[in-house]
Amino acid sequence: MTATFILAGAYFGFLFLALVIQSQEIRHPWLFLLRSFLPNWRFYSAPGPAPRLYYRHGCDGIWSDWQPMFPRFRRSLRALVFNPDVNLALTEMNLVDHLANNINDLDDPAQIAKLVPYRMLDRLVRDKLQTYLAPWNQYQFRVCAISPGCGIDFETDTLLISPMLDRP
Amino acid sequence: MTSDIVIFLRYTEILLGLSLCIQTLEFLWLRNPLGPEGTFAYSIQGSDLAHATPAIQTFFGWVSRDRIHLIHLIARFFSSVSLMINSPGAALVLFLFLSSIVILIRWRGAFNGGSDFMTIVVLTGLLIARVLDVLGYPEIGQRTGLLYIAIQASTSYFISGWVKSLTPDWQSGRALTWFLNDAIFGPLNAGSLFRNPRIAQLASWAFILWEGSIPFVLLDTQLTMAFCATGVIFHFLVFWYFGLNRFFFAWIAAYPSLIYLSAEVSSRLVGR
Repeated sequence: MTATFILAGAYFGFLFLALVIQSQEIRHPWLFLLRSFLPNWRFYSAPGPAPRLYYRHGCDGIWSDWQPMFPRFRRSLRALVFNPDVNLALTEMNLVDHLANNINDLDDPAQIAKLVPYRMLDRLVRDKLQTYLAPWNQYQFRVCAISPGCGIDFETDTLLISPMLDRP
Repeated sequence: MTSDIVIFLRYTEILLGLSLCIQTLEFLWLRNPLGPEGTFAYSIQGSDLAHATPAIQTFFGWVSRDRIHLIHLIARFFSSVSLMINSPGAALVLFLFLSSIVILIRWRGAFNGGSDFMTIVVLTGLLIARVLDVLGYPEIGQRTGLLYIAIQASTSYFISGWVKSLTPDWQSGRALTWFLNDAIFGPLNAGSLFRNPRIAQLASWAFILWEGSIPFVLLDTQLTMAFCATGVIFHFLVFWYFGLNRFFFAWIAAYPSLIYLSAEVSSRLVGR
């Protein structure tokens, strides 16, 4: 009985120490792809700047205002058992997080357009614009990091701004 | 409380089957984003596997084909239904486990964060139980599988509570208001209770104490059941405010194992 108590205490003590002592981040492509096997104990742990995606479209040199990419959804009880659109939007928001992390890690900024999350977000913006009735032949997107409780300031909050891209 | 291990395992299978059914129906609905013209098209996402062996790349190229992906999801759906209806064999659990890995890799490693993690944890626990059963150790397998799930679930709650308790923004309740304002349903209403700093602080500490109490709660089965009942409300609120419906079912699938662990602990330590 005592041994079980000691083991349980040691286990939770070890977990506590693991929290206090910051471990180095392990980086490997397989670890990234299989990260669901690893517990994310810091889920919603501390608020920090949140990366957000904005886009605009242009037609013959006249550009729209920057607009946030992700709409706000309406709550429904039915979504408890079937919620694909919200879950997809949350996954797409994670792409913005991944791109923001990649921007910080990248040695050569010219390589950004080759990154998977960049290419996916590029396609996401294009897909969104396909639904627009207004004419457009160019588009552009930017990633901004917004601090908690603050509004967006494009001058100071921009992490990345894409070139003006032509409609394919 | 009699710790009838087979019943605890069966409840786990039923709850996980329900969770997997819901997840799979959503994946069936979301085939377009993974299709050739979608955001997550394999022509783009395949670059994530540039470091993998040619055989693995070929395999993922194959399972990413529209038709194969559809067949995969239909097989996964019926396997999940089967998991709910009958006690499964090792092959069915192994299929669901491998299927989950394939799907997660196609969504760049995670589709829904913590719910993916807990789904994998519960599937791993069931896999341990079923594989050891095939090898001739059914009771050890059932016990090890349930304990694996219980330890992962209790650890996750405990650490999550501790991390929050050490974070000043959670201590003051500000973090809760910020996260709620930034959630997918938009900012809190002007009159929302959670805009009141005292209420936000009270709610934050309620969550922190609830999550962090798990090691002590496990010493008593009645307390563990009360913890799980509170967990149902907690995860419903997470769904209601953050839209995370998958968390609700994925985490509740771990509750039979928490109650099992508690029954084991209390019978051994306290002699109940």
